[in-house]
Amino acid sequence: MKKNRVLIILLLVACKVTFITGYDPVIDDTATKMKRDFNMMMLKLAREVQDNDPANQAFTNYQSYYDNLETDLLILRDRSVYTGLKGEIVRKQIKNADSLLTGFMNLHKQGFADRPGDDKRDFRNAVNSALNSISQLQEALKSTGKE
Amino acid sequence: MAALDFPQLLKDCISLAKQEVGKNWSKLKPFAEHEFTQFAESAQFLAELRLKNIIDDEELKVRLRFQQMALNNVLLAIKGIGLKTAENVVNGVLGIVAKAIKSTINIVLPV
Repeated sequence: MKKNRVLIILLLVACKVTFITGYDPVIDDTATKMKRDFNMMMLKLAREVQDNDPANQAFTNYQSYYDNLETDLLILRDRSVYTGLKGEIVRKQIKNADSLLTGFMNLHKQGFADRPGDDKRDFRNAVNSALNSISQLQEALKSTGKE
Repeated sequence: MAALDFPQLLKDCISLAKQEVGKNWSKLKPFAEHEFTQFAESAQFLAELRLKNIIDDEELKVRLRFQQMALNNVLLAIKGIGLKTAENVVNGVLGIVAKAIKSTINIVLPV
């Protein structure tokens, strides 16, 4: 009886559990880079959508930023494929950030009118939150609970 | 063969769980507070734009949808951090038990 109890404990103890995928430095670094690039772009855009020159905020003037963005999104999409069975939360986060940024890009393509008072800070906040959330989770995934 | 000190083992396991949950909560709290505040500020900003007729109902709806997607990511992060915390607690407890077994019956477990 006692032997069985010890065996059960041994079996239980010999199994390490995994509830969620591990840390991915590429996802973490890419999200941080995207946040920096987006905020830099938004500083310029917020100025240009509030002046009296409706041409300066044209999508074509931001083409270089969006080319970079599409490359970063491609990297995130590719990495999310390798998060495995326990990576559903990370994949959903990346999909959300992708929809958000692609949606913003499409709105910009349609054109932003000059509107004093509307600096588009809600978009800036939304993108920052979406990318912060990815970084925050990645930071937590680094921990093993042993330190 | 020495017996396992179950009361001490239980004490160590509870202490580890408290420490792990506390550690993650202290990181999670400022993040959650910041993001929820930002969400509320954005919603207020959009409501003011609508009130001043700077944007119409359709644009308000589209821009709120962006806020919703962002908030979804915040909630996913909180869920993921919760899972990671649980994982660390379970593995930490397994480690404590393995250590106790090693010191009492001298069997090394692959934990």
